[in-house]
Amino acid sequence: MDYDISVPTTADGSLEVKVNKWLFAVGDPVKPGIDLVEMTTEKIALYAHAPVVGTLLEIVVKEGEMAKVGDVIGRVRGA
Amino acid sequence: MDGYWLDFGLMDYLPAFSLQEEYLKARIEGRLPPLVLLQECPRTFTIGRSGSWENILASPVELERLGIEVLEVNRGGDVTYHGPGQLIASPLFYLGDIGINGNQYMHWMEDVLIGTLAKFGIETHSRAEYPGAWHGDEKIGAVGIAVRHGYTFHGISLNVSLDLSPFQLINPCGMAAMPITSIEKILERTIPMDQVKNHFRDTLEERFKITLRDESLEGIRAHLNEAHTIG
Repeated sequence: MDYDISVPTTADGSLEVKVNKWLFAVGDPVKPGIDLVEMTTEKIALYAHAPVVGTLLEIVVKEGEMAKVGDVIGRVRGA
Repeated sequence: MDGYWLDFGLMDYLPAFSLQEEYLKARIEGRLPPLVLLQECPRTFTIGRSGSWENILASPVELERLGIEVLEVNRGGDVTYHGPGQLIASPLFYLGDIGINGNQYMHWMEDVLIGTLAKFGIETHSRAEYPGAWHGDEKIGAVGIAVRHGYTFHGISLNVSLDLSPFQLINPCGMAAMPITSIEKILERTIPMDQVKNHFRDTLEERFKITLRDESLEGIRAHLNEAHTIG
């Protein structure tokens, strides 16, 4: 099963975040509890995790690009 | 809401942050209550995730001569300076408990800085375009936060009584020649750090409706060990 990785709702809904760095590459094994992607606003760093053990399937929003709260920025395929 | 208050006193940045990360992990796993960490640290420049080495104007040789360490850290924001006489506070809160998002949390922390300074009769304000606490055109308090799974870490720094000259070696928060001030500079007298911590604590407790209980480093380590055992 595939799972969406979205900008966390803990960011302000009206605010755009920059996808600063993907900490894993497509195809890498990932798991919950380990930072998967780092996003930033001017003064806030936000981290999202994989919801399940699996592999990073797709990077939808690339490093340096902007996204809003709830936007899908990547996908993980469950093991 | 109840939590712990741990004052490291003067401690190197990295060991203090290492404990912060360890506690945060146990917090995210739901095994420990909120914690507020306080510290002063030796002369250090930290570069946040929106920052750049280009905003450090001093050469590596000069930094070594001055004994200033440079660290890349996982908070928001750009470059800032930390040194003895500056209060650093890192609340490890869960935004879901408070009912606010990360951006609101940042503004609440600005409120806490402004409220703390008001207790010394110092009038400060926030600026929409440049987060922090400002006295006129001079910055006195900074915010740089991070959120993982809705749990906050990193936090604020407040200039109490310190040598401000190292700020001239950076573009603080990415701004060239940003004027910086301190409580001591404004009041023209030295204020004990403990008094600042007490006012900060009262203001934080009031703003976040939390009661903080003193805990020692040994006590926090014991809580962590207990949490690991349970986990």
